[in-house]
Amino acid sequence: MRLVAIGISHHTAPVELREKLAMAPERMPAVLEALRSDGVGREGLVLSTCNRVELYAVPEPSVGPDRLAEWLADRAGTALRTVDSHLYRYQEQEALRHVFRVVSSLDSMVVGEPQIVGQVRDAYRLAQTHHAVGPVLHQVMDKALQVAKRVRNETDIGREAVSVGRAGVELARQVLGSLDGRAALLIGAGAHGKLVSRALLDYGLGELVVANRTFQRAVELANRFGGSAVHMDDLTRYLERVDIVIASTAAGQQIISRADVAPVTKRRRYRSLVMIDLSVPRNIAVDVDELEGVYRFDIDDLMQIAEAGKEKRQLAAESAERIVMEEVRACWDVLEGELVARGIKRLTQHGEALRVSELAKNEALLAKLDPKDRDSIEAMTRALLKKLLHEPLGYVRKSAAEGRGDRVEEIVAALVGRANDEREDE
Amino acid sequence: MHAVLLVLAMVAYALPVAARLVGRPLRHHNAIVLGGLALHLGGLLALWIANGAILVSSLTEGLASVALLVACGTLPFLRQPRMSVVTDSLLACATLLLLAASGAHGVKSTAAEMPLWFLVLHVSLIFVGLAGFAISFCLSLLFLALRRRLKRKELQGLQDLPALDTIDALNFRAMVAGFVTISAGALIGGVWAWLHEFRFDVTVWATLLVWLWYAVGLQGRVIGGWRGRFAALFGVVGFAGVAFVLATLGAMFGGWHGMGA
Repeated sequence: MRLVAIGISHHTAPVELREKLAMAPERMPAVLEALRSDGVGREGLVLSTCNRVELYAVPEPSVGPDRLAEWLADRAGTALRTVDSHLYRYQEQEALRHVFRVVSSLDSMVVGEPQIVGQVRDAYRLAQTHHAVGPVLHQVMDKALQVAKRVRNETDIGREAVSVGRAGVELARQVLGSLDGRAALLIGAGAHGKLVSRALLDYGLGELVVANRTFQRAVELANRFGGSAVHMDDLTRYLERVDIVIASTAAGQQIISRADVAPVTKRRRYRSLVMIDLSVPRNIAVDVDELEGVYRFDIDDLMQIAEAGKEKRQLAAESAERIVMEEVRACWDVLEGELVARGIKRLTQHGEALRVSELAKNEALLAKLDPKDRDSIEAMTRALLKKLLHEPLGYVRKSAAEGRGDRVEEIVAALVGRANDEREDE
Repeated sequence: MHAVLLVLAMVAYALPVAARLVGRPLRHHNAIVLGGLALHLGGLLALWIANGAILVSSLTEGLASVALLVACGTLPFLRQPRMSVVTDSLLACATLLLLAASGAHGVKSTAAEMPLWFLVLHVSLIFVGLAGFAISFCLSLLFLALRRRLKRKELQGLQDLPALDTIDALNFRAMVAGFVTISAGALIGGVWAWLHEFRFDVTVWATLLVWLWYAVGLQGRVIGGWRGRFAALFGVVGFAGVAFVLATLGAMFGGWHGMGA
């Protein structure tokens, strides 16, 4: 088996590079489709959040991690060389461990934050809908979600987490002081945007205005938060009124430019304006930060705030890491066991099919024999098949026992051939 | 006696500042500050007793009095942990003013003709005004430093510092307080001089310039919204000008209104 995890995250690259690989949800079906049609992977799942873009895949035997990385960059519409040094490539048990760590929020910007589970679940569902996951990724993702639940139940990792919402509040308060009576504009319906808005309201925010590409969605969100909905065309007008802007959309492009904000700052009489851009790719132009009274922060800045409680979470994270390692070993054994079982089944089925086919070819001759002789010949072919398969099956079992499960596919492919494999799978 | 007390006060002010600079919080921070204030007040009283009069017109006393007022500016913040950086910066300013006061000793000028109560009122208001500008100067520097960190996204440890808008609002209040009191003090002195023998000396010109500078800054803020960095720059440049004038007065003109020594 070859399980591969390739990606880029807040650990390896700043947001300006992550956004080059980011994939909007509406593009995901085509990407998953292309994984198979481009002949790079048998199974695949793409996770694209503001902190990471990752591909979990079972590649075709001839495809290496570098080719997968190239394919991923190509699909994101960027040159591999621009992100290559920031990409990590994990294989086999390391890949499995990485997936478990990601889903358990051990690799998150804010260790222990719960949003990642929902994001992974969504990506998994999407991949299932488009038939991009097979037996291996099913097993891996189901187990990963179970491990995340176990980590949350058995450690205090979630308790010490400084949420993204809280980090947003801290940044706003660092500029504005008290949030009492302040007004905020939420653009988009992204998960992090909603979290920050909820946290701001909990800390005394006076008014929330919601803008969304779909006005009906803005109305729904506004009703949920007790705010008001506005059309996207009115954004500039509201920039003059509010104290905080939170952008959290999947637009994949800039929504607010420096030219939008520059005239507003003067009309605001240089009152402080906090702009929190949680989108990747970013929705608010980076250079608005150069304007007087404007303080723009992105998801990486929130990470700095979240780092504050890191030491406290470290202890919980250590216990969580032990659980992850334990689960990785157990899951890997199961995956390899299943792989060996599938290999053995394929070999025996292949042999049996050959035996039956050869008997069928000689059906006319065999029909002339009496039943006793026919039974003897059948028994002889079975015994012959058993003896022929004895050595290969023994080798497969031995390889698996020695932890060389990766060779099983190779052996089966050599004996049976890819074409037969696929036919048998069907 | 008074010199010893003032030096001890200076040490008490400098301790929390040094502790912050080396990154070790002082265990009895507030007690030390309050002790410093008591020593400072005691030093001024001892000085007056030693001189047999309230000589508010000497540069030494003037700077020591402004230093005391600046140090008193820490009192509202002593129980607010996030404002400790404001407290410590005001203490640093008070330390420097006391140091300057010790260097300016001997320079003394008295408008002998002015009745004592009139003189005390005039000079006290000027001192309160100068203290307001000194506090505004400290807050302006803090604002610029914090703004720089926010713009550069150096966000670690910010949770121990006050909000940017809080510093800006305090800066505005300090500047207004300084401007109003220095205006009142200058007006009282000006009226008395007008009625007796008014003459434009260096102090009058300098006061007018400083007054004009802050008047423009405050007007800009109220009318044009020059808050934040604009206000902070006004605060820094304004007090730098005040400090230059005070140093020049002491070194070249022998004290207030050039009538000393």
